[in-house]
Amino acid sequence: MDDFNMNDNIQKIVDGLGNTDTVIKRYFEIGSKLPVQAVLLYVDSLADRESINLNILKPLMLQVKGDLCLSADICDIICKKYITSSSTSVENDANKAIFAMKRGNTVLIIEQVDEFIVIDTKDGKYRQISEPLNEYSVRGSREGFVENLETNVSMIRRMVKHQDLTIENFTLGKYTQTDIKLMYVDSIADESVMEKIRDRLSSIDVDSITGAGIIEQYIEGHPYSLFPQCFATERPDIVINDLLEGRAAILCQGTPYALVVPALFIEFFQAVEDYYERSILSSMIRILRLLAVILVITLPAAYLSFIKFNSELIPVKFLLPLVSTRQGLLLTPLIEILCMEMIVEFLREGGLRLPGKIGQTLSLVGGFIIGDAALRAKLVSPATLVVVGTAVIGTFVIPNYDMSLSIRIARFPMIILADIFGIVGIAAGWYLILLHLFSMDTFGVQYLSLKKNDLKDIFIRGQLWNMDKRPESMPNKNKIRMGNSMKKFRGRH
Amino acid sequence: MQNSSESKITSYQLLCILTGTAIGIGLMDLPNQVTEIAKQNGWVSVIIGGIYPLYIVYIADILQNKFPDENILQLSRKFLGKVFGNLLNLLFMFNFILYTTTVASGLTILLSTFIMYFMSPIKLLVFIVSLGAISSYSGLRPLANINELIFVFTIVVALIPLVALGRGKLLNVLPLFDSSVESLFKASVESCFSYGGIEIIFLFYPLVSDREKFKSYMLKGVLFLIILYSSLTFLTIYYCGIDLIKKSFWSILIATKSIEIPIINNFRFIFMFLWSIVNFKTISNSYFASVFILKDMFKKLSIKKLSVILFPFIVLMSSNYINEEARRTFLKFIVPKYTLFNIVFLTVICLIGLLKKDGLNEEK
Repeated sequence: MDDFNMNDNIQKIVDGLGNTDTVIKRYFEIGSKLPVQAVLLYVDSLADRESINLNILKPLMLQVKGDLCLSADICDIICKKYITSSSTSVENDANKAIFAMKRGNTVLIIEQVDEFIVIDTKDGKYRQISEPLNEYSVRGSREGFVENLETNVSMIRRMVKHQDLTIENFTLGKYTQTDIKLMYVDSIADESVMEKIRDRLSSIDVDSITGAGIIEQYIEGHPYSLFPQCFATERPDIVINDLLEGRAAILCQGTPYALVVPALFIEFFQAVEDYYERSILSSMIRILRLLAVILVITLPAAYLSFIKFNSELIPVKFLLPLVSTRQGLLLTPLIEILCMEMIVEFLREGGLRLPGKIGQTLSLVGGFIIGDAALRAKLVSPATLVVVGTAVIGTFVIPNYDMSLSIRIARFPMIILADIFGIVGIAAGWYLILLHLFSMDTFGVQYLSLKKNDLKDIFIRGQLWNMDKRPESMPNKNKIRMGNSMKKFRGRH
Repeated sequence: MQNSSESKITSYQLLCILTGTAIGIGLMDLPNQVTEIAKQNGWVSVIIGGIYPLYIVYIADILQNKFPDENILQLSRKFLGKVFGNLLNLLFMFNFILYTTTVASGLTILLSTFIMYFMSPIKLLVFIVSLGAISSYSGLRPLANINELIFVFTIVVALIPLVALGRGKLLNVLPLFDSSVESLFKASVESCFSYGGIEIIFLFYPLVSDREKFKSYMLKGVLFLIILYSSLTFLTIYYCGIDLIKKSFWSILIATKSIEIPIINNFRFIFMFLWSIVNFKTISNSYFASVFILKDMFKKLSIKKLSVILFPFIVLMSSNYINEEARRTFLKFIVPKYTLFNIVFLTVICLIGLLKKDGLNEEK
């Protein structure tokens, strides 16, 4: 204990917090005859007033019988005997106290003591855990991430209880000072990959981080690529499966989804539902999904190439109705397809931004009325409408939103290539897409690699008891994820 | 861990690159080349022609054991001096320039004849060569991966003509072995262009990470080539007979016409679509090999820059033989000579390597 001016400490904290309007200072006395002066500091609306009244002010002002002695361990005594809050700590550093206050904690300063008591009074007013809006699953859990970082971490912790689950903290953004958590399983994740992620995260030096989507763009290796390199998900069960394959999850305060890194190309086509369903059903869905991807990218381009250059390949029986519907059309095949694609994209984007009920009206007006009117006005042929419509429906089969957008955009260059080079343009387009995918890497891991052992979880979804090793394409410390017993059991029967 | 930035490739990937560089447009007219001399026994000549790639792999294995960290370019400079070594390396590079240009022009002619008649061949050629340049620009690792994928794809595509098996006549391949041994050997020289490209093995063997598997994988690769070529040649003879083969520039395509699928009027079209993807990879491999050798000479220039610099030259050279007759005449003239050069050059390097004592020290 030394002769210390309480006001200096208060000033330090107020200076550190900047905005003085929102900082609440509550002076009070502890004890009756020779009371000790104390001050309570918190940021209005970040801290929970009820908790402050109940756990700090009430016990200290009303329940302290006799007087407190201004000794060196007075802070400890107050914490242990009087404050009924579940989490308290005593800090010497004013910066730590400021850091805690910005996150809703309350700081208690006692006269003549150069220490800060930090009391957990975070306001619990956040959106309740609810069903993930964009990643629905029939047989999976109904929990989705929310905006509160601690809640999100707790959802993962609740399901991964092993001591090797590691959480690293980062604070990013000069002004926003957003809390970020990097989670991985230490005994599985590859050290050099984690080092790269850590490096990238800590090298972010910007004014503000307002969401995980921004972090994603700062840390990805190929910003000009069409394909996403971080996997964003709002489902904790997906994150947990990924953590156990040696990946890391980045959680950001205020963002109701987690970023999984490094994300590999194949992962975007593996829905969590695939693992909850039985193998044969899931395999069927996987094959459908693959077909959908091929169709989305190729179908409009192939149709264009057929009607523009190689109409001799269309069977005669089909050619006649096709020709009759195309008679009197104003637009060239390319413009016709591009126009339809554009209208569908308008509808999709419009429907996404509008509230539910207006969205429905939009799809009704757009889909039925404009489609029908365009046909009658001879702007497009029915076959074009079918082709474009099929391709659009195909994009919804891709389980990940980011990837489905990327695949959707990939068909535009394909249409242009087909318009110039016909079917060879499509072959070249596919060749270039594959070359691009093979040349990419995310955090030192190859973005697309087809390893023999991983094939049973790519084109089909093999039996779970057969997937005894973690994916080879993802580097990890521990390759085995399953005991032998399941295979033995199958072997016997 | 598997690190994507490593420039190492696996033996399996080298197998894919090896077969990937060899399988190209040459396969389309292989039956034409061999049946011209060896008649219905042309497929035997293709098997005999397989001695060339086997010999190449044999030499590569010796060099790989003795000088595991130096490729043919470094060895030739080491043994024959800087000037003479570089000169021979340059000649060796023209192997790949030859493959790039002839495959690019061959594919252009094939496509213009059947499906791309709406476009001038030169435009198509520029587009096809640019694919090779872009692949080469991406570097070895993506190329190795794409070869790996297209290797499987090639097997599937090559299985398609098997459908013709049910429609052929045994009489077409009879009588067996009535050609003279001389004509069989003569015809086997014709198949060299189809096997050509596997010389790429000498550039990349120091980059192989699993050396113990090198020999077995390379032999498997060559055997795959021999079986694929001879069976497709046999199949074409069996299906069309040698008289019909003469009538088509690309006789294997006749076999694909036998396939009938509802909705699609002409299956040949689908086959050509798939086959053009296979050929893009062949062009890319040879293009990259040429750039790789140039990089060895001009160390200051990067692979990326060289890929761009080489582009106009390749286009210019390919456009010289954009007529199938001219292209074939040129190939008939140059391929036997180049094959001879390869055999002599590689044998000499191998012999000097065997005689040099210091090689033994490098083995460990």
